[in-house]
Amino acid sequence: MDAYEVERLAQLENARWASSFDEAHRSAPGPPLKFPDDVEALFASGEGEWKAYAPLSSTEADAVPEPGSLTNIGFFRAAALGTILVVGFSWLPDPEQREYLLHLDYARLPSSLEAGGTLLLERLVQLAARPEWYQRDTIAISDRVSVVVSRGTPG
Amino acid sequence: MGLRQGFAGGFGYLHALVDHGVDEETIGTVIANNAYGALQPNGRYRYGLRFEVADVGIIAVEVYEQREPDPDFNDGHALGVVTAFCPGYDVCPPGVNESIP
Repeated sequence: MDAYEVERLAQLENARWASSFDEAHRSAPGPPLKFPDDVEALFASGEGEWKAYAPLSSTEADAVPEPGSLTNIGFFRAAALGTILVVGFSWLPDPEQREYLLHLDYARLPSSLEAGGTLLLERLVQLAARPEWYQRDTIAISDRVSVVVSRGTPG
Repeated sequence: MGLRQGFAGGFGYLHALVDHGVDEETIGTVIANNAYGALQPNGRYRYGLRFEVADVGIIAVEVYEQREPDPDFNDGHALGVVTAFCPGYDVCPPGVNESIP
């Protein structure tokens, strides 16, 4: 993607995140996933079962908190710096309510707004899947702002 | 819900399959077993299945849907499934597709 496309992506994402989101959909964070060493062995053991986030008998009014949810993001704003998208956001469970800066370099990504938006969505969800990411994967650059430094892998 | 072919390294079916190891059947099963997609603050809808052992979540598969048309497409239809993956994993463990009923 070139600088023009990243600028379009920043505008598009700002519009998406600024759209009317019903606060009733916002939830507290659920318990984090456990990430076992050998998930294949667990599947093979016959223990456990798959459960839907929203079971077929449920309605949105019954919604329970889920881990890694984007709904824990408070404010969101994106800006393009050439081919780099810089995203500032807050994390509601963070007791300090800092602003976190995440950057993604789109220079090597094919020209596609869909791909750009998908990469951002995944980056945020994967980050949120890490327990206490805002304490483990960030570097403070001021008393209110921290930079996200890692890619977000299990654990 | 639409599942566009998309492309690897991008979005859609090929992205989910090639980049995250989630096949078409798994995507369909995740969607079909959820009563609704949960609206996210970026306007996308999330569907998910979580594997639990003794009520402890071990791994999950999530599918994200965009119901609005995308600016780069002129067909007027929803973009549909933008991605599917296992939170916490770049590529879902192979057993995920086999394990989901």
